[in-house]
Amino acid sequence: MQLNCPSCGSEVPHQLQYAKLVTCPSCQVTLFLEDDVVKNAGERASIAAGPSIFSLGQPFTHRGVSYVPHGRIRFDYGKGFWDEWWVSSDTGESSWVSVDEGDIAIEQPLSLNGAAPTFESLMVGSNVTVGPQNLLVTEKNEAQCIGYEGELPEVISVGETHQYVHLSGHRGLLLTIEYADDGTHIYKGLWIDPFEVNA
Amino acid sequence: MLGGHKVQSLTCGYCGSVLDANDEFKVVKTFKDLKRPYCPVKIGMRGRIHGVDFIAIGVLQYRDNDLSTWVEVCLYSPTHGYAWLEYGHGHFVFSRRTRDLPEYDGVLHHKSPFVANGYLFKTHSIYDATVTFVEGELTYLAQVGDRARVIEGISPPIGFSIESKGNEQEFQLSEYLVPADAYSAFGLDADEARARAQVHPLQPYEPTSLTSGLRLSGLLFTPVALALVLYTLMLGSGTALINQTFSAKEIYGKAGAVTHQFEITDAQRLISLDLYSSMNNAWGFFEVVVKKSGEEIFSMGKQISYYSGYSGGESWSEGSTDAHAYFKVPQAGTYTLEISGEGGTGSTGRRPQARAISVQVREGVKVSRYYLALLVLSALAWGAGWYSKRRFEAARWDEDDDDDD
Repeated sequence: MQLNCPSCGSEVPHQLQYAKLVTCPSCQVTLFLEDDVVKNAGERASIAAGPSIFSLGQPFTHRGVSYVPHGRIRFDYGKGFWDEWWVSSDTGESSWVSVDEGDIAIEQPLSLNGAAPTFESLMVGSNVTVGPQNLLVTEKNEAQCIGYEGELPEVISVGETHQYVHLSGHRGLLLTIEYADDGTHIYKGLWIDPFEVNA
Repeated sequence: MLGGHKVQSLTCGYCGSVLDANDEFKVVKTFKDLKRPYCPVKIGMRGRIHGVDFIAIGVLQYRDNDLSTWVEVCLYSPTHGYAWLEYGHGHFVFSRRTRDLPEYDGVLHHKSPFVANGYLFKTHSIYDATVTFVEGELTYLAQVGDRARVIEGISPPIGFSIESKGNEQEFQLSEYLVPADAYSAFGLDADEARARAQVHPLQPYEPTSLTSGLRLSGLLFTPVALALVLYTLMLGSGTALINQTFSAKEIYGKAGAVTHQFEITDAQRLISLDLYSSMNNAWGFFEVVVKKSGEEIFSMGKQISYYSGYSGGESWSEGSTDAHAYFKVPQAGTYTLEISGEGGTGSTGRRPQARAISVQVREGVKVSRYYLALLVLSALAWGAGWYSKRRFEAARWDEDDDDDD
């Protein structure tokens, strides 16, 4: 099925049928698919260029696994910002790579049996059991989307906010709980050493 | 500002004012009369470590319970975040934060093991670190007098530290940097480096070329020498040609004693002559003439003397009850030995003691003394290398040679 950009009429990349957000290669407008209709997501806030280990479409490897970044979302958490890269691996899996000035984590969505702890119940420095894991609450904050680019698996808007909590475990284990308007989302992954990333 | 958005404080190295980066750079405190510690890497310097470009953005000096001080330089990379370059007594250590929590049983104390980041560490030090100087940008609001409880584990050249401040805990993964590499990373002249004092806990052992050579030669030659010694001991006793006992009257008589004839089959093989007597507090000197078909080939003199007694509540002895000689003959054939002796008892007696003399001749013996000497020398060489490493490790753990640890 051929899809066309509503702004310039150019053919839309076929990835739109799999990703939720893509950028029109001709006019750079962000597009999303709704009911088989291509729609303009509106002006996207561009992300200021800066030094980064990662870049769109540029493969990188970590511990023998190769990844390709397809899209990026930038979040502001008050004291600074971090980027969430949507990547796919050579093993066929998609992940989120969050990068905050050298603090890098790779995470994937997790389905939890039972309810996740509420945002208010978690205190930084306290221990909490989530599923079988005993974890340490290491961060608790609120974040706002301030820009995005490339292809993304979800529709997002500049200005969207959500609360989040980081829980850390042994061997670099990270659990992130995001509290958004559309529900609570949990991601599980690992903190990784930026010196082990080869881009 | 040289650092990124995680910088939380900026301290002026001249007036000592600490500015809060999260509160419009308000002055939080002022510390006067601070003496800037020496560190070859200064704020603003750029360097490349493990392929990553860093800039030095801040400096801290610490003091521990033993009043030992060191400097930590805060480094920033836009792609790899923040790290620390520790400098003290000429040593450099590169550290960065790790999210891996250490795994251990119970409470950590000196030499307790724990696992983190895929390494097995041994607890080396537990101490309080107090900040004595602050300058530049840091990722937290650091002030003079701040104190942290530090537990350091080592797996040289890698280290892991657990820093506890208030109700916060942070973990650092460290790596010892060879000073020349650290200087080179920041474009500094390594010739101006200060000599390293003491052994740093993370410092890898670097043998000198001499100790390396000694250890290698010891490793190579010790088993060879040991095998040769064992071989000569087990298989080097040769073939007995004669085993005769003569009475004192025969040996010390005017005519002396003559052994049975014996055949030496191979002139290339070593012959051993063993003389034994059970004399005590006596001596005997024996002239041994080696004859082939009645013709003298050569002669030699051997002495046996043995003294023993009891003095001051202790037994003593000196000398030996046997004598040995090794020789080769010019050609194979039939040989005899003519043995004549003289002796005495005590220190002045001129009459030989009436004790028999045993004579044994063996062909094809192998002498182990040279291999034994090689074994001892090569073992010493290996031991020198081992001792050098042992001393280094004792210094790493700050142990005296007399300590039992």
